[in-house]
Amino acid sequence: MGDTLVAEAPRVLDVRGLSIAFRRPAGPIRVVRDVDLTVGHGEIVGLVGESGSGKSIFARAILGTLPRQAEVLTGEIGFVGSDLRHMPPSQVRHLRGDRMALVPQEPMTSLNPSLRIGRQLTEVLEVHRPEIRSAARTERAIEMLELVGVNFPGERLSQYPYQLSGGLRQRVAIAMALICGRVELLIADEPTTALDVTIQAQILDLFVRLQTKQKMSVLLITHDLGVIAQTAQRVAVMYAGEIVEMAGVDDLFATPRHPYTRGLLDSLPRAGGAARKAHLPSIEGAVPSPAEERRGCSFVNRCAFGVDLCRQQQPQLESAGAGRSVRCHRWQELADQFVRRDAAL
Amino acid sequence: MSASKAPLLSTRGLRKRYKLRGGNAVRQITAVDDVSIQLASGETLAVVGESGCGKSTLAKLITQLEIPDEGELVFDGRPVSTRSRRERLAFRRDVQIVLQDPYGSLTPHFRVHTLVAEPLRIHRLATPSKLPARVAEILESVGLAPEIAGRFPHELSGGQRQRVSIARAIATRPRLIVCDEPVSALDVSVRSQIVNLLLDLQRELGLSYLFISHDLALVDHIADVVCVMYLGRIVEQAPAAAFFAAPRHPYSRALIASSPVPDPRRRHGAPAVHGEVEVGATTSGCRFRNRCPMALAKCAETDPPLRVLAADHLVACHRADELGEPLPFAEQIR
Repeated sequence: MGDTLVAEAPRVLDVRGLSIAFRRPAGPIRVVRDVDLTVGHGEIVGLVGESGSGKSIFARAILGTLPRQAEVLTGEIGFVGSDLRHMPPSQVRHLRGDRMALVPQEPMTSLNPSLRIGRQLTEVLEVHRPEIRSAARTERAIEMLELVGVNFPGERLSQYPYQLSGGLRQRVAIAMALICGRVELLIADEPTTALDVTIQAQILDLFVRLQTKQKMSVLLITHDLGVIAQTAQRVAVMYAGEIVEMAGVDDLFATPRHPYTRGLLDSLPRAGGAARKAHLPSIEGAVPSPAEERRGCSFVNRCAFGVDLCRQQQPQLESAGAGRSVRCHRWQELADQFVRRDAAL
Repeated sequence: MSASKAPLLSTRGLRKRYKLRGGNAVRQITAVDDVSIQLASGETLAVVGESGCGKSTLAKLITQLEIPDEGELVFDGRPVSTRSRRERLAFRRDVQIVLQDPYGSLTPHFRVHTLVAEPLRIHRLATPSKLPARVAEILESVGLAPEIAGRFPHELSGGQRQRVSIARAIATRPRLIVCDEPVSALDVSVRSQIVNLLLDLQRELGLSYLFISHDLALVDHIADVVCVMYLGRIVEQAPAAAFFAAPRHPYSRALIASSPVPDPRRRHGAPAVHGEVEVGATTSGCRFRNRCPMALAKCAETDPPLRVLAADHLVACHRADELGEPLPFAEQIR
């Protein structure tokens, strides 16, 4: 499934060789290293990584909202044909909220607590669609709230964020992201992490419906492999600033190629029966500090399959079959061993 | 849980009310409503439910951080409320807690040594001269190197901090540890390390856990008994194996069906339930009925009592008898 989608879809997002560093007195610290990532039209691409993997900084670079101390060192950020990296900030600001938008993790901190919901929604239109008149703006705000499944949309307009539950706030944030009607890329950074599971299921369902109905492209950033399996078509796995594996979602979960991906999948509790209370496979150790000087593979210290080559030479992201790539010297030898535990199912 | 063994902990009809101030009106909500549970020695009772279900309030009641308005807490065969001052100190030694956020739960200006030594000093479990050796021993048992003792919490990773929290909890040689979402704030690769540590400690020290979690796959892995709460009430309680094989309450089934399974071959269709938990919304009948796909007129009239459906399997639903089937494969988490 992933493979056919990758093929010739026009790219909404086409990032090549992107490296980002934080400026420090002791020298720059590279937190995103040589990342290639594409998102096709109408595609949901998952970006999985743990804290400190660089996934959120990567998202901010696309949106042009990097913190002051961070800078893009190399690479291109292609967005529907134009290079965002060399675009003046004023133009990027025009795109943001109009043709690309962010759905953040905790809308309580991203929505303005002192403005009514209606005001926050119509403000986006004032900025990006000044031709729409005031009455029509309110109408559009109500339509959007309906689209994302907010009940009593008319009444919600006069409410403040604190009066809404977490799930409703997240729906409002999604409505805000979509209200201009021209959004081509939605970047969702841990959009359901703060929500309860039944609400999470509703919001993920909303993303999938928006993607299928409105042909929206979504970059879904999360640490939760379950969320990825439920929504994404393609997946990039990020570790210590690098993409270590990229594959269609079925391939990634059925036959992980990188030892880190494999370790993550194995560590998930899959319970019941004789396995109850047995030790879970775990990845020992911790993520290397981005300040550390690296020679070989960034995962070698935690890898059960590391050899001298891995310590000496940094592996490149190489093709590992149709539509997938992996950054591991030994992926071919290991491929046979990496069969999913429950492949018999 | 075997019926023959006397439980280490049992509660009868625990109830806790809080006043909520919204505008001018003062509402009262019952955060924990008529909760009776039993936990056997060496076993794990998992409490699951969404925010606002009362699971954290239950944790506070059991650790005596909050005093129940009604009901009784019996630990080791004796009601906690009738204990003398000295006996209550012993209770605090026997029952410890590990919290979710290892960033917020460790005093930032204490070094690890001070943090771990604190419970030992309070309960006079080590003389000052023996303290460093004992702290080192405890740190070792949670998988931390002795050098860690000189560090401050901000110098530690999330996993190391949670190990320090666990070290503090086991320092008093407790019999019960209340774990309130102990691995939810941790990264996936670290989470299994901490789960394994908890499993090892349970085996070595014969600990009982009251394990609060929203991660049902994890609960399926570690729990002996599962308790599902909704708006302060227990709606289902059963041995873990029976529960996950065939959950009998529509809410339990919805919770399981909503859990994102890390398997793209088992994608969920439409969400299992609509709407959200509404604190204080229903005043009569079943509290779940507004979101329940199976609700009948009867559900609005009478509040279904918690009743016995099978051995040790309790459910509070009028229609539980119709729900004996396992969940469809695509909705299971196994």
